[in-house]
Amino acid sequence: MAKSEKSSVVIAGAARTPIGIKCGTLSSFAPEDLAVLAANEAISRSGVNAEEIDAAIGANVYQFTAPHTQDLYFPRNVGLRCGLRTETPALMVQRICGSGMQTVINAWQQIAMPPELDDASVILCFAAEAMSRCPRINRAPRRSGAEFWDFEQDGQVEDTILASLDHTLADTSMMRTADEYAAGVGVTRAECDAFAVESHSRALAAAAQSHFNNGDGLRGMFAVDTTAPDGQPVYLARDESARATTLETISRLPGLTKNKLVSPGNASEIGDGAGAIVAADRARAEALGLPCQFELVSYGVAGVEPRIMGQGPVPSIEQALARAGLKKDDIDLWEINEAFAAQYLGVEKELGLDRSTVNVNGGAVAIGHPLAATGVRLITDVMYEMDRRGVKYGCASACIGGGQGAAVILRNTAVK
Amino acid sequence: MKRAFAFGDKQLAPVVARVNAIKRVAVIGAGTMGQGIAIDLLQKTDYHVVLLDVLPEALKRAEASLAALWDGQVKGARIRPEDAQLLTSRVTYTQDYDDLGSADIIWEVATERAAIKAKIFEQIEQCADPASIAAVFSNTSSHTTAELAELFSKSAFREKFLTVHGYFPFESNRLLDVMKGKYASRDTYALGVVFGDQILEKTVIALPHDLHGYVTDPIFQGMGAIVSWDIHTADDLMHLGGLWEMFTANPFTVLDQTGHMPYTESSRHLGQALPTDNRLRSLYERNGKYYPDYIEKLEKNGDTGVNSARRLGFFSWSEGPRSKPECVYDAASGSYVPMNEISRSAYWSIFEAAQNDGRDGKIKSADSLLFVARADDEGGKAFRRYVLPICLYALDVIQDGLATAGQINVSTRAGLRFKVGLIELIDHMIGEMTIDGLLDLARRAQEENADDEYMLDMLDVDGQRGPRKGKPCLLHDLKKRNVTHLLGYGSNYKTPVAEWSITSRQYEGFYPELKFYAPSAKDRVASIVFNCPMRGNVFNKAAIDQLNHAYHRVLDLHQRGLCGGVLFSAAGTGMRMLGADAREFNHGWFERSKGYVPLQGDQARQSSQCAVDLFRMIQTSPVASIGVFGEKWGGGAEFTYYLDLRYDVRQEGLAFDTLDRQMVYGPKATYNQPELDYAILPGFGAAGELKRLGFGDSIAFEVFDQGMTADRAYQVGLSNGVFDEELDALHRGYERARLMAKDAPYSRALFKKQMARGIDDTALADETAAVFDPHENPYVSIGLLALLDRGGRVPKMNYQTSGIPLPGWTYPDSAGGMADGGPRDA
Repeated sequence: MAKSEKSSVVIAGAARTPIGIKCGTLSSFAPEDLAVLAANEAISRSGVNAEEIDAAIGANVYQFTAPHTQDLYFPRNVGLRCGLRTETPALMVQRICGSGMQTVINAWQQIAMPPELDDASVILCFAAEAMSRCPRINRAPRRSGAEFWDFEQDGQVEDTILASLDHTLADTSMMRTADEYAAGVGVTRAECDAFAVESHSRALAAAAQSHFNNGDGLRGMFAVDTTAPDGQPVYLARDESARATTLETISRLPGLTKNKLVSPGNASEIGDGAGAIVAADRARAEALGLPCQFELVSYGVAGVEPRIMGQGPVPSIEQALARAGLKKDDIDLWEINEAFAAQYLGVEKELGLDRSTVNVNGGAVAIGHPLAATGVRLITDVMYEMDRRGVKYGCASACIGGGQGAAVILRNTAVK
Repeated sequence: MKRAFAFGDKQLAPVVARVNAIKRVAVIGAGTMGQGIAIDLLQKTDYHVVLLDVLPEALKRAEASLAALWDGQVKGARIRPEDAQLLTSRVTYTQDYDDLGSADIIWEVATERAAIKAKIFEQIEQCADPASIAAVFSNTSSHTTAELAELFSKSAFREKFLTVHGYFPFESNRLLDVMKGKYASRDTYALGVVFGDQILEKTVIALPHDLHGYVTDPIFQGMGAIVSWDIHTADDLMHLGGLWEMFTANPFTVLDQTGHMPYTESSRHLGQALPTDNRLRSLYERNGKYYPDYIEKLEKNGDTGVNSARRLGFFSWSEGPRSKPECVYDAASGSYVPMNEISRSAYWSIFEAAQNDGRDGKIKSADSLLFVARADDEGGKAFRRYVLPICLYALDVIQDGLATAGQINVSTRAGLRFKVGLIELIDHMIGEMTIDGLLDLARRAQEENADDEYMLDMLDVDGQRGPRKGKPCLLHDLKKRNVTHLLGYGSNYKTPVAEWSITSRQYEGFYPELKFYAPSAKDRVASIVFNCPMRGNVFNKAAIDQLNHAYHRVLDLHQRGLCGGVLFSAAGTGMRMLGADAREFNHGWFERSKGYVPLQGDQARQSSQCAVDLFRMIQTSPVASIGVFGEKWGGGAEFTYYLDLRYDVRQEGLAFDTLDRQMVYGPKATYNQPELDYAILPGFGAAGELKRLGFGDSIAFEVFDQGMTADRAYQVGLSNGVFDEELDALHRGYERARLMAKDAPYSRALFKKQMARGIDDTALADETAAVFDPHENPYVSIGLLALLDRGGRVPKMNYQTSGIPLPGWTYPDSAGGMADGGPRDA
């Protein structure tokens, strides 16, 4: 199949689920179920025939979600359930909070390869997380011999979410990295709390103006309108954790870190959600009659000191800008993950961002951070908002536990 | 109660806060139901009520009706003239939708017709802000919440929308259905339940999943529909409609009183909308018809019941306020003919059963219903043909997870006024016949109706045909699991106290007369709220059984270290607690001409013993207890004497001053022991308990002869705290219980033991030795660290008592709460 002479990769379709609050409306679904919903929606929006898709790339960080799910087979199962051909391969990628974004980057790289190396030209990217179902696990080692398969009743049981919030190699935790980073750039607790209130307020305003409420916003989100595993109907058409709150309420919550910058009220919510993107070589997309309005321009992935992992977006954005030949002021709209208000504010300060162009519909502090799905959510949301506002360049970026960052820059080709 | 309380449930706290911020409720539709809701809100809350109707005449009628009601209450000295004025000033009558704008709740009760509801909802969307409104309710008999929510164009309104269904007369019927559907948010659903439960003081049937017509309407509608297709003559209408008088009332009589429109509208809707696996589907759609021709003819003629122009419906009705049916409609001739009695020879089983029950013409026991069910006469055949499908439908609802066994039983008892709850009947049939016997009864009915395809579908139990093909009846699953009753029955009076859960596969407490709030992990305080305010929270057999079961759960939790204290309270304005239900314990009102028919001594002894044993268990157990109540009478007051602490809410009202010979407004007694006036003495131990509490004769006599206000009770030490506001009292009471729950179990048990014993110095010395011995009292080392260790962090107390003998206390048999099976806390 002929590809573009110069690598040009477009987003032919993108969609994301609403983010369910922990143990909320979406909590009975496995990551695979959520990903299938998102992938089918993205495929539908792109208009591509599922059998035309050449590869599937998926991301799901928290595996072995309860009960009895087969997360090991995540990308393969999603591909099969969405009607991709049996011959279509499926890959799982993992870059923790950047995993969703990584699916798009991997797709881009694969599409951009010369056809003699890889002729994939339409790739389904998806990511999902069901944090409400994250397991507690028994860490006891296996015994040898006949007892290999015995279940160790007295082994140490660990909460997988809590365990993953620590980065023991760096002797830190995600909360502490945000605290340390933000304190280092002069962010205050009051700023963190005010930002948290603003995130919720923006999210609520966006919901009120969404296309579910006769507005034109949040068109990247589709309503989950399906049947739960117990047979009962389920419906969700907004990000569930966004709520009306006040500075008084948020500031009363205890600071959990050394500099007290991080509190339960200004950290991102645990959530359940999924997103999917159909990425395609432009020539192929045009031949198939798929939308080609949004083009991937550049990406950046960079490492930072693990103890201040929140800084990750800074070098990765700079890398992406440099690769695209753009400056920060060329970017009209930003979606930067709010793992913590402190972490986001550190990035905002370091880069000197204009908040009126960042996370305009609220961010993870309000709507939640379903790890792997977040990257796809950021790209989807920035893309649809760019279209709504008629702006040219958008950037999605996230910090990554362990000390990394990822960023992707899009262009709206409908704008000159 | 005017305000809601979260009882320690932190997830519920924001919902409760929103409920407590409600100031204004708008009711759309000023008909009977709208008026009833307005009256209830005005009497139970301090809200402003907006009553909206498009017809000015309807508003005028409503205004006149409410004015007459307040007038009557002033004349009856139940309220003062200034109270009536205040009530009147709190209502706005309007035709303008703009007046809804500031409402916290908008409640539509105008129509069953979806097309008209759609227009109303459109108006609501234009004038209300979904972000600030608490909820939108709609009353419906046949639609699901999702169907009605889809009439809103904005998702934000759908999330705030619930169906909330009350029963006529709204202000005095205790049942309320709250149905969520897929669109409503969990918070909205929780708000609807809290509002119905704590503000409207109803028994709420909370349905998280959509079910056309909730629990009751498909059953009531089904009762009429299932016989309606077989009615061709006047005698058919008398016999087949009268069949249901075994349970409650002739549905055709009821329909004539309510009007036929809700029935015909519902049938039309159900005929189109019921899911394909609903076994009663064919009742509402046969060859393109939603109901039989004669019903359509009556509708076309405008003969839709007692309020129709000609006072005609299924019956012709006499004039006057207490209208009675005079003649019955003959579908064959289209005329009204005299009502013939049901044939005694054809329906001998019904007559014999009624005679056995001892009340003329009325069956009132499950035994009698079963007798009819098995009989070979027309009565038996009719039971098998018409009643069994309804029973099987109820089992389907449980099987599909749409409602629980307890909800169905309460709905049929309280909503439809069944003398025997439908699930109690099914349990009785299983108990007497076994599951196989009940399945065989259904198969016998299939044989008897072999030529009726509709009936065969409705009677299928093996999943072989019809809407339930592939889904064998729940009875098969119960048999496999050796479950022989869907409800758990109390160990004292065998009233329902638990329900078998289809999800957990075990019995879980279900209390129509109580509410049980499980303790949170942090606070370890359970709350038990007496929840029958319309009957003053009397101690009847059901309340005793349920309290017993609930308290066994508390003890089970205590043993596991999960509960250290219990807050007792009473639902309803005034937080009233009446005493023993005299009518029930005395087997009904006695006939004035015959005088009092003595209660058998053994029965009186048993009723006292059951209650006192339970109260004594509460009093002596190592679980701390506090009661927060308002006005208490007889056994209601006695119960509180068994608790560790008592908080009181001051009461005021009108009382007759015997010297001035007029009604006077002032403080009312909160402790009342009127037994001496009725030639009895307190059966739950008042006299003895007051003495045990350390009060001398003078105080005891004062309570019995005069009653005590809250302030006076506090003065003498009977009350441990007095409050003006119910919510304040609950907050303080809960907090006190939370602090009491921190007591180490061994010490609390020993404290109670010493209090019960009186003076014994030798025992005291032995007990002191034991309390400091960590082998006897494993809690001492942690407890004393909190006192002595100033430096480090004190480890958390482990409250588990399993395997640790507590002084003066033995846990009852864990099966004590339920007749067979024991309490299980989910």
